[in-house]
Amino acid sequence: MTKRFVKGAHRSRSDRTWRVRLLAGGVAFGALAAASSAWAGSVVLSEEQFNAIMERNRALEGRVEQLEGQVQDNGQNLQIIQGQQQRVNEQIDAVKDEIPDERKLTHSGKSGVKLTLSGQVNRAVMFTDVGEEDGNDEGRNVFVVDNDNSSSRFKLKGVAPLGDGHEFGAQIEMEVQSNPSNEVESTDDGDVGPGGGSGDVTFEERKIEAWYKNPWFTFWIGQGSMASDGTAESDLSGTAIVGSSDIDDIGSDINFRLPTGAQSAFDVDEFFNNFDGLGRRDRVRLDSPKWHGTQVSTSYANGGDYDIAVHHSYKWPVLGGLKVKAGGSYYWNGGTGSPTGHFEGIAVSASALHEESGLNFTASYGERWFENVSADPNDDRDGYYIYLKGGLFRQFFDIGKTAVALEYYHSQDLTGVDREGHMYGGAIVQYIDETATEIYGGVRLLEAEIDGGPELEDMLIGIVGIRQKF
Amino acid sequence: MLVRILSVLALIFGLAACAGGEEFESAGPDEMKSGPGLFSGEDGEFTLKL
Repeated sequence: MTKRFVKGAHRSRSDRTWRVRLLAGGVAFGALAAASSAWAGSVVLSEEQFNAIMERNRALEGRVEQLEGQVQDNGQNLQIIQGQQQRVNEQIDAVKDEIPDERKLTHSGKSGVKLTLSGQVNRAVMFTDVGEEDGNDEGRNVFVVDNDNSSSRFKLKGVAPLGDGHEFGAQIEMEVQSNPSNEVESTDDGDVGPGGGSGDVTFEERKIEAWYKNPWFTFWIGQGSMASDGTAESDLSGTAIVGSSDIDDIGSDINFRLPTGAQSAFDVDEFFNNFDGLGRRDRVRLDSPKWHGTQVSTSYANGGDYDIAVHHSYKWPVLGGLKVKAGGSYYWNGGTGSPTGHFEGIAVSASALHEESGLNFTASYGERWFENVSADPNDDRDGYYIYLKGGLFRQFFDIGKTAVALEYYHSQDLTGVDREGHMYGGAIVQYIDETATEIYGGVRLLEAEIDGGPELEDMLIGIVGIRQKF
Repeated sequence: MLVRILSVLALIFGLAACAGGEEFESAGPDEMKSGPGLFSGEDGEFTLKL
């Protein structure tokens, strides 16, 4: 008898038991695997391993304490080094004036006494267009000039401080001009001066003076600024080198033309001037100390001329910074240097600059009273002018600040006779800080009228130049 | 008139000074400006010390 075996058909008891065991084992293995996964982060250490780790931990803690101590020591050392550095800096400051510098020509002994040399060159090209043609003369000229707004020059200045605010000083400032912008004339073919060429240079005094200063006053003697000098020229616009109230510094001797094209007998300085006090003279002068930027001065010159003046310059840290410069004076001239004999006058000017925006405004006014203008002893007359300028003085480029301005001037009877002048102008100056250079340009339209006299053509004057300080 | 002008100027400047601020140096248009020079450096002057 053959026993047929059919799969699944006959299952013995032992087979079922084995299957149950196998199933239970699988379940147990799965549970163990799950439990192993759940306890995967736990490590069971022996006591020896635990002690070793603790020992290592204590060693690390000791090392951390040691490093903390070193950090603290380093901090103390740093403070010591900083203190030493400060002492060294103080010692350097104390002796730095004694250290020879490439710009200090020589050095010895006594502290504080010094002689300085400084100077500048200010050269320009000036264009003039005086109007109507006269034959082959088109009425246009080009001159290479020395800009008389701030002439080429050099200065030697010696100062000897005596301590406690006392000081002696002296200076010589000489003007060296070749073809000055206020002396060239319409008819000049070459350079100003005898023979032109290299013989035309002028070498003139500006200041030859000495002073004594103490905490209560400063006393000056010699050729220099009268107290009233500069009181008509307060200017913070940055364009004064080409556009100041002293209009006739540029083209003073250029003659106006008649409508026929012929040259008239009237030149620029008869209509355009700023009555800037008594200028520079041989004089004695007394200055007060400055009080909040304000100083009172008086001076007395050869010929009995005298003046009294107030100068002021101050800045306030409000609204982005506000600078103000102003001056005012009264002066009396006994006749010396006057084309019409005795005169007296006042000069007032003020200039304000908003530092943050660069906006600025300048105004100047002067009036003179002339006596004995003619043979008639009662023929006293007066003349005046007003000058206005608005501009912008701020940094547009990395090389330095830029100043631009528009200006207007009006005069009436400047020399005591019936004449009138109008000027409309514009100016621009680019400062180059790295080389102490100023590059400038300006243009002005001048109109002149003579009451009862001939009609005069308008004049156009332009100038482009460079001022270089040594 | 002179006394009036100077008095008014002194009054204005004096009142303004009370508002705080500081003096500054500003050369006139015909003077050499202070500050650096091309060769003389920061102070604009060659110095000979005695």
